[in-house]
Amino acid sequence: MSTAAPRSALLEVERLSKRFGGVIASAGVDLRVREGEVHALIGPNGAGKTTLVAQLAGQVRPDSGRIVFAGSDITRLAPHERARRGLARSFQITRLFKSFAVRDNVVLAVQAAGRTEPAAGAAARREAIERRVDEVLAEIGLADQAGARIDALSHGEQRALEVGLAVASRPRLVMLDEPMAGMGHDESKRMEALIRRLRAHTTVLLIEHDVDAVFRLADRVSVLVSGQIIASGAPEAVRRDAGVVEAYLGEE
Amino acid sequence: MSLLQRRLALGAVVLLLLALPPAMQALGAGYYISTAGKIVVFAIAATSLNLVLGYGGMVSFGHAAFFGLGAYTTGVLVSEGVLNGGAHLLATVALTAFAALVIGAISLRTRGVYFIMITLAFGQMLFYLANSIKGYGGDEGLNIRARSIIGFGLDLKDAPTFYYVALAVLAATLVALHAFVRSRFGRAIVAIRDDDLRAEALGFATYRYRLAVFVVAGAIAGIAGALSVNQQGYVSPNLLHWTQSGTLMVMVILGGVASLWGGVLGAAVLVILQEALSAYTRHWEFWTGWVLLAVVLFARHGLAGWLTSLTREKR
Repeated sequence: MSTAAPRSALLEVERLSKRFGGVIASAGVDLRVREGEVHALIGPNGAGKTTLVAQLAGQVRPDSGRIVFAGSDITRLAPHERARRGLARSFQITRLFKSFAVRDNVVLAVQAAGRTEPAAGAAARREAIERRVDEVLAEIGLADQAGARIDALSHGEQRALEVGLAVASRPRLVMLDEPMAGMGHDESKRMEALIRRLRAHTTVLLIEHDVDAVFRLADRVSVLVSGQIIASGAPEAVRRDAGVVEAYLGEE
Repeated sequence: MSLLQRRLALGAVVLLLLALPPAMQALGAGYYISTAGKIVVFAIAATSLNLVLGYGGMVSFGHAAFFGLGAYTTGVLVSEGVLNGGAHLLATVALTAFAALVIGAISLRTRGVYFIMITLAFGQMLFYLANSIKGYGGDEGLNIRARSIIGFGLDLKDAPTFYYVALAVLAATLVALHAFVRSRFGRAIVAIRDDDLRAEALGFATYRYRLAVFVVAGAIAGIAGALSVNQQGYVSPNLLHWTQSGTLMVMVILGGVASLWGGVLGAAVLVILQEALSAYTRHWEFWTGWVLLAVVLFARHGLAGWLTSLTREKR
């Protein structure tokens, strides 16, 4: 993996625009996510956060603008091609494979992106996958539930697995869409600790509603209001930004 | 059931199926051997639909078109004097796989009700095409006097011989399906059925996976069709009609969606119901409807699921 040159971004979004009929979801979004940081994306309901993630992950085609990931233009790539290049996402509404046990969900996630190091022989490859699956299960705290069915998990456990699937293939950048949605206090704390551990080997774009958690976790924060980034920078600077306070934080 | 019990049960089923023709002849019910052959042919076709519908989650309402296309391919070759069974198999697989590739490539760009409607439309297009080919019988269908020559001195006109040959094809289909479901590819296709958006976001090329399954299932249905024309000595455009696709779908739902034996059980029960009831009433479909209703309401995983639950309770 090449180390990024100073100031160069792992993910660069330029003037991204998308409208659905009369609704403008993205109105020229500019965003830079640097390698190795936890970058939080906050904004009021309906600001277009989830639509932005969907455009970055490829589920939604932008009308115009450009998305550059790890130095190459991915604006026209299909979602699975982006995942294979190491751009992963989790979903706001949990999406798991209900026909499979917890462990098999993770196995599928590791296999899907085909990003395990090329190993000689099928046995070695299988072993590499198994090792990675064990790591992920330990990381998300579900090692004891490996054989459980999805519907036997609690809400918090399902959310942890949701994030686990996204990071299973060791992506270079993972976009977490409101990972703490609907969580209780203890579950949120556990998710926060998980995200802290993720940053050791993955760049994180965190979409989150819980502003306090965001300011604890993020290296940099961008604020999306009405489909536009109105501020981007260190948490403290963003917190004091007059425009942000007026448009978003002030109302809390 | 333990593994040993499962193996014993499977062995018993295989023995029973192998002993069926001589047993029927001994009981003076030799006529029913051809009914058994018909069940096996439908079992292959229904199993191929179960691959698409059950495991792949694609509700294809035009599956009979591939069955009919396979029957026509072999029927036309026979009527043109080409009798080599290997050539029939090759041509049938090539043509039905190609048709499934074209139809699937277009249909799989749609979802839900649209997918159902577009596969139905393609099926009906092939149905009308078969009706319009005057050189091969048009709407009256095509009669063939000869049969595929498959070597080993086997004559497909002989009912017991046909039954055993079809049974071998069914066995191969089931073994392949069993292996497929456990393979990496098979697990991926089930994951895509569970949640295609998630599967794609993780890196699975969902469209290609689905298309591959659609093509393979189309080719298997084609082989079942090639067997059918050999049994009946006749192929009619009605084989491609959408109601025939509906019949296959009923078999899958009756037998068990996404269960290995679903297609086999559904085909057996539906054909037997049809034969038994039609001896007493012209309205056999009315009574079959009640059976289907009961299965859908009370055995949500079909007859296969119901049988599994029975063996589980015994333990």
